Amino acid sequence: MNPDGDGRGNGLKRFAFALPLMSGILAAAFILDLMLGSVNIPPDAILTIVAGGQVKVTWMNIFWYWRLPKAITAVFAGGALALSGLLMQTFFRNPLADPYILGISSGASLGVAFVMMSAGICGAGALFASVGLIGDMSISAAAIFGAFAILLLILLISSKIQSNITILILGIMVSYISGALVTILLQFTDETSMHTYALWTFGSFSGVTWAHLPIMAVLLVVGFVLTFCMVKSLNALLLGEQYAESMGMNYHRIRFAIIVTTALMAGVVTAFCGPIGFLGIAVPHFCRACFVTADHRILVPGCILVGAIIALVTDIISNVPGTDIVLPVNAITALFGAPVVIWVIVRGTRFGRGVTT
Amino acid sequence: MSAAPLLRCTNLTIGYRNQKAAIKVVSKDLNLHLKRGELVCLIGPNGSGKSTLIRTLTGIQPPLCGEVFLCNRGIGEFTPSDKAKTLSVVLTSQVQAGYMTAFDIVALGRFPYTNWAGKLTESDKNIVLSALASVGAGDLADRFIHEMSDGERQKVMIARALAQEPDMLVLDEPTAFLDLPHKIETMRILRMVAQKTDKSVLLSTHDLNLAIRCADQLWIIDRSGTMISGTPEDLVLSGVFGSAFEIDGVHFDASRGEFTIPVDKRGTFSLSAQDSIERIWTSYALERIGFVPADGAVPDITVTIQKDGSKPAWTLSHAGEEQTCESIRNLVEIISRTNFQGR
Amino acid sequence: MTTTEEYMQGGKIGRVLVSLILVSLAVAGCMTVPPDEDSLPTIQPANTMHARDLFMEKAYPDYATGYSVEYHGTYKVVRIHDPWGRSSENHVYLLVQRGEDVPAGYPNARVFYIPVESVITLSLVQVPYLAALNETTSIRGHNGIPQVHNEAFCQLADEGKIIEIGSGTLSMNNPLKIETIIELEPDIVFCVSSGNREYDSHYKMQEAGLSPVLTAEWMEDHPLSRAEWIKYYSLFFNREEAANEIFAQIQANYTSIRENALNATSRPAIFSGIDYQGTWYAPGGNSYVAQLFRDAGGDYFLETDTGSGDIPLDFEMVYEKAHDAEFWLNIGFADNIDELMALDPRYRMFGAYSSGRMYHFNARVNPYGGNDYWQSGMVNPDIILADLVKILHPELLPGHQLCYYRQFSVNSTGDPDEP
Repeated sequence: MNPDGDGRGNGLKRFAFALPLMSGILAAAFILDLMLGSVNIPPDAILTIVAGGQVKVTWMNIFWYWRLPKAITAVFAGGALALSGLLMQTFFRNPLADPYILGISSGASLGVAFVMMSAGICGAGALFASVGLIGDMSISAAAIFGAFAILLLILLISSKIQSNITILILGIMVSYISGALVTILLQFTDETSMHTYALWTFGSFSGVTWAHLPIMAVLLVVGFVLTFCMVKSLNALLLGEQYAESMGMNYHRIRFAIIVTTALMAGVVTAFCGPIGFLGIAVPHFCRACFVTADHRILVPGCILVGAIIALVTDIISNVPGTDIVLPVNAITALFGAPVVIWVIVRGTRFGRGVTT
Repeated sequence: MSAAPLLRCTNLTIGYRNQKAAIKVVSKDLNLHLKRGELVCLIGPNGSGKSTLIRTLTGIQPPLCGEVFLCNRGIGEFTPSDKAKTLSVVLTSQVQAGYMTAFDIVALGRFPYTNWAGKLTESDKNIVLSALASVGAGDLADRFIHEMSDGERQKVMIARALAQEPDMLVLDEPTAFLDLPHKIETMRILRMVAQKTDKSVLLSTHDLNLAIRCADQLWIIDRSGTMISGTPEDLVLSGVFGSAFEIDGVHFDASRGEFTIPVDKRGTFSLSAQDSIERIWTSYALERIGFVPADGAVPDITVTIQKDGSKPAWTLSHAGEEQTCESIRNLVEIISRTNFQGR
Repeated sequence: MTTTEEYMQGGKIGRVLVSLILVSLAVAGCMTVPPDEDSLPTIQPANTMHARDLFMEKAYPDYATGYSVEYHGTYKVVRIHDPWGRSSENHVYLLVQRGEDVPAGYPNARVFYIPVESVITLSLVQVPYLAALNETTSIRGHNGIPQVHNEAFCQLADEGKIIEIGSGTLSMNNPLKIETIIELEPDIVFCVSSGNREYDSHYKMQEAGLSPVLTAEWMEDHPLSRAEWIKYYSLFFNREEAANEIFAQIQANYTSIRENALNATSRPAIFSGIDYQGTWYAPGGNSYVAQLFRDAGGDYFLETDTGSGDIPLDFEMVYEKAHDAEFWLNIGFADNIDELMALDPRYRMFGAYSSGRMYHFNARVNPYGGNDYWQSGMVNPDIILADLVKILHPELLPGHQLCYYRQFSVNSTGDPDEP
């Protein structure tokens, strides 16, 4: 950052230098996340396990079946959330936009709430009535279905409406409606289901097992690739829709692509990890400030890296190494993200003074 | 080089349909053309339909009737990419994009030519730099846009439009937020672009004085949507220019080529001096305070200017009395103190 | 400009208006704070000898700590302690025999005339106590009829003698049909304190002119303490004799089973609870469940913990601690192995899974989700203990059949080891 306005914008050069550094930090955070957890596994044991050697069976199992999938999930989820946040901030030219602004996570929450609580409502749901969950996979499926339904709604609306601000407001309204429906469901459910739903909203990287991880990873990588393909148009969008169209960008096609890609990434992460907030809004700002650029060719890989790093750090903190306590992921991300958001508002960052239309 | 117009419209009717499918016609039966190397100013009062016309001519909005041809192709036939290579725009609104240098912004103009990742080749970079140089913003290349003044920012946006290498530039009130020196500079740049690079320039503006002087053609829309086009001088001589814009109390002075502010008449004057700059400005001052030339009749006041060396001196004679003043201010003060009966 | 600057510049009238609004808000806020109830009156000497003692049988809580009772000839003084320890929420009830005078000296007590004839139950756990005392016929209305197991109750409900007065689920936030309750004209309404004054039903009952009576058996930490609340319920019906008898039997059974278990040769390791998204929720070391495990001769994996509710643990830690524990009891969230596997394939890594020693108390669950473990189980801790001993030390109770617990059924291939 150059507070003196010296303004050397050598973005690409800076990035070329920062990229290996960031990758190094990512690797370090990844390893740290593998090493730290509530069970104390000494580092040399970790090395032995990775090398394929034998240590205590429990330690090996913990490493392969708990720590490793959790760390990989954090990497993908953090990157995906940061990237969706970037897409939404560029698309709406609003520094306070986050991945859920179109109501994606509300849709996912509604799907999850419905599955969790419908068992309690219909007396006919006989066998499962005493049980809140039907099976973990169906929760993820319900979340994706809910997110997808909202996505279709938003796409339908956006095909009829020109203005971005209108879509933004409609997305927010959809969130409210979904939230209201969830509240109604909560009203009629029993304590256990309510508790389970509340737990889901805490967010967690630990719930993804090897069975689910490939699905999540593949879908998110698709999202990453789609975003990469859009960098040129994203840069053009920085000047606004009218300029972007005058430069030859097909606005409706890009709008469709952005909305779908965001919904894909945000929806998948919400489905598997619960609604994790603040990463989407804070990391893009962080990247812009770090790399001193608005060029998406730098920001896209940058956000993936920084998002992954922050998610890993969050995971390490939430497991409070050395103790039994587990803190909800959403609490940690909020503690990190809120100061960044405050900084954005108060300083009126260089991204743009306030909200632009 | 073909003399065929770059942009042409035939029997164009512009307007829009609102949600109830009712049609609002803004202007109809327009037959306009714009040649290469021409600078056209589109002027008209607010709400007359300038924006609608620009949007229709650039293909953003469909016409209600008639056709628009760009390079002899219907504008609807262009792919977005082809159209971008032929036509670029500069809009009024200030771009708010943080952490972008002038170079980055101008480089965006290469959008229609670069590959999927937007990578700039050497020739792209050269085009960007020369676009910046041609608007006199070469040294701004590494500065962040949010740290520039309005004038500098507008130059960068024009450079961006140039980097797009279009055949035609369309600007929507590009000088609206600029101060006078920058307004003039912008017009100068646009004139140079039109003449030297043989591009067509269409801009809408409220700056009538600048428009008259800089434009090769004027397109004037009045409030009823009637369009008049022609060279500025022809329009002034035919009196159309004045009548299109005159509203109560505002009068277009054809000889001076500008709008004047009418003042209540207080008297007549006769000015005797050599043809000089002092004579011109003294007569302006006298007109400002309400005096018109006597034109043969007996004047209420007579002012004589004498120049001794470099210092002029004014002599005011009125009702037999004479007074000498050292400056026009002096002169005006004395006249103001004196009581005149209007005639 | 900042808020204070705006305020100062607001002009005199503006400032006065804003200040008035702020003051009103503050006053309104203060008014919602419940006034501190006067502290309990000084304890009267217990069992003051009265001229007439109408209560031949007396039942005192030996294990239960949630209430206390004094007999005073023509009336009983019952003090119920707030489960959350808020002194302002302690209540004093005066149970006065019908036809007798209400004694002076208890300014904050609520008066109930006994024996009561008609009651309303707002919670599922209240029904089994009444059923054990054969007082099901006094129940006129209940919140959540479909979930009740007790046969006598269900019979009466089918005959229309017990009316549904709630929405049929266990949530404390559900609106009750107050008008229906009033129409049924019950002598008392058994309520439960929710810990949050705004949600408490008993205050709403009071406002409606009804007679709410709090019960807090579910807050007791020991199984016998919970069962002993049968004595509390008996106070209202003058059925202390039956209560004493029943409880004595329970206590005797429980104690003998426990001692039997203590003599067992092994103390198998037990773990409990289930994971949700990486956090494992297990009953704390001092909880009701842990007590049962201990009394059944098991070694609960959270022995050193002092919590009495569910505590959250990290899944990896639980795996490390409990991977070779022999028994997995009180599982939750799943009905059988297939469901368990669907939840998380990592459960397979627990030794108890491979050996098939997984048991949960879902043997008696009705189609509407009512689990009898939480109903008749409350007054049958000896049977629950017997179930546990049967599981942990089958050789000690050869004749006993599992009642509330069942083993997780194997999957379709019949082999619990099949991945």
